[in-house]
Amino acid sequence: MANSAAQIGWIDYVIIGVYFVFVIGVGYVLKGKMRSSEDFFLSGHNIPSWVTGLAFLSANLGAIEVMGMAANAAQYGVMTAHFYWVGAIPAMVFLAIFMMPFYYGSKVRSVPEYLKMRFNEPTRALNAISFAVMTVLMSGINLYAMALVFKLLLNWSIDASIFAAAGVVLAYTIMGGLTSSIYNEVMQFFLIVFGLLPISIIGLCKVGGWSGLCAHFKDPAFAHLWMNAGTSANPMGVDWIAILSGLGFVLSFGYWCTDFLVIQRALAAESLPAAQRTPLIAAFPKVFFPLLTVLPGLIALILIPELGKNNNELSYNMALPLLLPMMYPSGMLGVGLTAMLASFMSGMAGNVTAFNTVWTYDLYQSYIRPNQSDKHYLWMGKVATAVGILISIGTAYIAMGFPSIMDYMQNIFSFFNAPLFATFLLGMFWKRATPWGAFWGLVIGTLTAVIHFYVLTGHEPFVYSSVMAGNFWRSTFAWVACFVSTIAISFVTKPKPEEELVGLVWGKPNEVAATSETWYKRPGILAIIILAVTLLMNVLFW
Amino acid sequence: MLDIRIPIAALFSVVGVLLVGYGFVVPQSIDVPVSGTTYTFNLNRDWGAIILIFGIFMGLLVKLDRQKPSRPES
Repeated sequence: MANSAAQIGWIDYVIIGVYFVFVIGVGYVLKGKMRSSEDFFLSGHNIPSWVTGLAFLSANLGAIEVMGMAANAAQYGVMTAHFYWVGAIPAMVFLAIFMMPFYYGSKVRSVPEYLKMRFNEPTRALNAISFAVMTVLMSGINLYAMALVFKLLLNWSIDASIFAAAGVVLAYTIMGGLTSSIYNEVMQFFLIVFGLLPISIIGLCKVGGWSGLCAHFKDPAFAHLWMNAGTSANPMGVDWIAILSGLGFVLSFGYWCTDFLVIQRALAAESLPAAQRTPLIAAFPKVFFPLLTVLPGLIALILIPELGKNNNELSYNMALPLLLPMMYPSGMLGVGLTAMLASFMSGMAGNVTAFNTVWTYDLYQSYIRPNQSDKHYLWMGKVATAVGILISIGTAYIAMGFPSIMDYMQNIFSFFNAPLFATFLLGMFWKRATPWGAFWGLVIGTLTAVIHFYVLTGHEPFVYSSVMAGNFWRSTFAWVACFVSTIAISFVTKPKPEEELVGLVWGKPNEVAATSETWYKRPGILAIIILAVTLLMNVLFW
Repeated sequence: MLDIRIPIAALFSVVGVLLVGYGFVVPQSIDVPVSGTTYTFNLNRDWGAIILIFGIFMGLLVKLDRQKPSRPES
């Protein structure tokens, strides 16, 4: 990697430095606006929908998304786009149209708080603890991935990268809270577009356009989404049933419809229609994001023939980072590196701001120190931010010990998010679902995933042709276990009185004043347009 | 609350100016083959100009909004 490291020049460092000045500057300007805990944790419900929409998208654009999707594309081909067109857009539309009225309308401050209102305290506590653990773990993985890229690409010290990035994130999140994180996520979105788009354009020209790219593939199935999905004999090793049930339904809805990391951005919107528009506005760029992640992975496979030959500097995870010094001269290299830095730091900040909210509202205020002043909780939010970042540094070093971070994290999602979506689906759309039905359903669903992974996988009939196939099926089993057991236990336990369910469940709506919006702002119309575009992409790359 | 378009406008204008300036002072060309013809670009100068235009566009949006008597709901 000596040649790559030699290409970075003073101009690249200047561009990275300018970015650092701006992110910390935004936090400093916002510092004076953080007067209450609601300002710090929920941005005072004061952010326009185009900003929350881009932040909703960017909070998910961390290390795993940017590096991981390019790596998956190099490994599995165009089928990786299923993570967008099957595994994201339909769930984002469902969240906007059907679930957001409950989240925003019930005025909850977090996802676990919804579970408390709809079910009971134990269900909330279970979700809050598992979410807090998951977020700091994810946050650390962003730090580790960033440090690894900069070590392999530029020979930067891993320790220095981790502490420098953590220090910058600490500075801007502790000063500006969620607003600072959201604003930096929006800047990150544009940086990623301007920093990575030329790679796709130049790379595609270098390999002879789309037809030239496809002609290079040894396996023609690499160029198709569905054509070889009738059985699991395709590059991803997953058939269409597993794609639709595991990814398209359980994992995707489990993540996009219940993960507080992204939903917190929508809760910061200024009104219910704005909150509903948030995932829809995010869905429009999301549908085209394979251009910035999947396409470079495919290009890397052709331009870097040794890719995937070892587990270090030529691992599939390095597909996108390796293209930067290949395609860019000094100058643009700085923009590309800044885009990756911004992605990792925003991914980390998103997790930290979700962690500090759940910790302060759902654990500290609920169980440790209730009935304190708002100023006290604002102070605790800042302490939780600092502690969350310190734990993230620790988990970054823990992450170094795992051979495959991506597979490990997919396991975590299948353990926690997959069953949680069954709990939410029943909670929001079946008023007979009882508090103890939800609690034990969640426990049984999570245990099913754990048993499937640690005991059953590898033994007939639980033998899978790829790790990803195992993740998809595990998610489906966990979801079914939670869904069925919640229903069964609900029939033998006491439901909540109907008057306590107003605004929390389908059929018991809050009285909301009707608002008249111009047609292009109506969530229903935006949803139809985005679903039509998504369908078109599936047909185009069939 | 701070208008997010202001730091976006400033950041992208500064980065755009840096790239365009560097592109002129230290010209580095890249060859891009398109349909059998090879085009040569000064990527820093050309892409930097696009980034600069985006930064100016964001700044203009802020200016236009401030000239309006009251801002409609976003």
